[in-house]
Amino acid sequence: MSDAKTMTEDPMTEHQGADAPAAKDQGVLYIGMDLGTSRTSVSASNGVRETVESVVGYPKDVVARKLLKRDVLFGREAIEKRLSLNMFRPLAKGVLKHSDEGGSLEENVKAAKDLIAEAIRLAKPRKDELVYCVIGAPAEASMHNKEAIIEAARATVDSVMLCSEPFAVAYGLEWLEDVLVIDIGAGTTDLCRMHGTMPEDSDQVTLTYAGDSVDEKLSELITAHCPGATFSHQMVKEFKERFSFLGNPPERAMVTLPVDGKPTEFDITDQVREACYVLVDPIVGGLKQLVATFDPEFQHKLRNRVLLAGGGSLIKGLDTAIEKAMHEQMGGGKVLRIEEPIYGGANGALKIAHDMPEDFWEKLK
Amino acid sequence: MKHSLRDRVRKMALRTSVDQLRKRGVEKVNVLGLDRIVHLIEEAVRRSLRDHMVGLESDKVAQDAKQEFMQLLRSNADLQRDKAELERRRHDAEAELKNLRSEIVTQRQALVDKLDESVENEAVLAAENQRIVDRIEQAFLSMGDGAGDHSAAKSQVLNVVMGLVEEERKATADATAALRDKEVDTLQRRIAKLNESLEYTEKKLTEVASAKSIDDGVASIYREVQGLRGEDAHVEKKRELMANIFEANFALQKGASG
Repeated sequence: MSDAKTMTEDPMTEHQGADAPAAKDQGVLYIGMDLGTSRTSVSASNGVRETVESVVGYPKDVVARKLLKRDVLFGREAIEKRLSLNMFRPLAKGVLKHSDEGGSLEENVKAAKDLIAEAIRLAKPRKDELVYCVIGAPAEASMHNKEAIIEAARATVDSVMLCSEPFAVAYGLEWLEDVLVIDIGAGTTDLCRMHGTMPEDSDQVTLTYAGDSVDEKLSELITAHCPGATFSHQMVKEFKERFSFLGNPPERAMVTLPVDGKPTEFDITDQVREACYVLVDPIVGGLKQLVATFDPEFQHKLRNRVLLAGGGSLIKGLDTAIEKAMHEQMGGGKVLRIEEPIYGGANGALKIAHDMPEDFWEKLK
Repeated sequence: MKHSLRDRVRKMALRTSVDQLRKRGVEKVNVLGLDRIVHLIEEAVRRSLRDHMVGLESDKVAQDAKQEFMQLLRSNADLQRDKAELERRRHDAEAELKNLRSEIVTQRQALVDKLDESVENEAVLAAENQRIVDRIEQAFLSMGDGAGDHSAAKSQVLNVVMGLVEEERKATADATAALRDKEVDTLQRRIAKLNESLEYTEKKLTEVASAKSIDDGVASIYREVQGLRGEDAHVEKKRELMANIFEANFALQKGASG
């Protein structure tokens, strides 16, 4: 029996006996988790689905602690209160990194653990149920980082497994062979080739062109196009999430920025389009590499079964733009955007959790 | 029974808005009415009972089901009581916090007033001194010009009188200061104790709030571990994939722990 326990005082122990842990005999809760650079999503077999930004904040001092009445904040709440917090984005580019203020690796490991515990808490597990969790980890996560993720999850679940995130997306859609997954995150874009067995290193390509690259490019373009305007990184991210597109704009991207303190309206439609375009060529380059090294008999099939997933797939018209580039550079192709980009990875991880045999879970407790 | 099942299903649903769904990338949804869901659950239960009750005594099954249901209801009632108790404790702690804060403000004001008294006293004493000087001046003036030049005598008398007055005042001031210091000390100790109580109560309130935030959780739809079924599509390929995932995780987890 694992040592997974809830981390706070249990008001029910009075009824069960003060020293007796809750018996976990009322069911099994499966949790699928997509642990991303920018966003962490969970899907669970109790119908709960939640998503939270992968940001952790700790009060800077005693005054902040008294004001916030909490020892740690997550996601949107942490971002809103960031002036009072030491902020951590522990999963940038799939590796445990230094904080925004330059904290230590140990601090980032703690932040990652707290984030994972929070994600599991969001799934609302019951104390009297076994909790089995599959976590879709970034493709380039090192062995050390995977161990840290496992250790963090084991504190709050009974048994946990990791799998490749793009693999989880394809598994969730039952596309097990001759399919190419493009998972566009904030820190990285992962391309993964599925051919009926576990993907190997040669089946995966990781690009550093992703959501953050679009933000950087958009910042540059706004600076050039809107002289005197001041804006923050967070504002640029929100412009991108609201207006991102390729091809014909669905609407004009009108934003208000302060110029010498005076709110001023700017049309940044062309800048948004140009910023989003930074993704296309690197992605098509990755596709070419994976298709060209595939069994020639099945290359045509692979080219026509490209799945677009991750938060970056929400860019309107990206699928069409990639298809167009594939026609020009690869002789054709078909790109399909998954229906739920935010939860695709978590849904797939949930399905893996469900299909995993019981004895495998038991051996990993 | 049907009414409570309907309520239960409704409670399990997660409320969201169309805009929120859109933000998550959902453009189309399939809608299934609550009545239909309740009907499907009842139909599933009926079929399951029918399939599994062959050779069983239906009365015994019904009795067992009723007992199980009553057990669940009792358990639910216990949880409701716990929740109400936590709410009461939270409410009491908040009221106590409010009283403590108000008390601290009052005591601090009393301390400030005490300290301000010494400043006011100086102005009063200066006025008194001036009145004494004026009285002595008047007394000498009333002696008339015939008595000669009284300025030296007046000066001596003034010095003696003011010396006596100062001595008396000093004695009184020392006694008053000692009393005031004692009162100030008492007020300061009281404020320190109130601060301590305030911190303790805030800590307790945080703990109660944390305890309250532990909700019962939402039950999984699975009573048992699932795994692949024989009729699943691509079952052999999936079995192979599951085995590969397990082997990689076993090496990672058990290899790391030695």
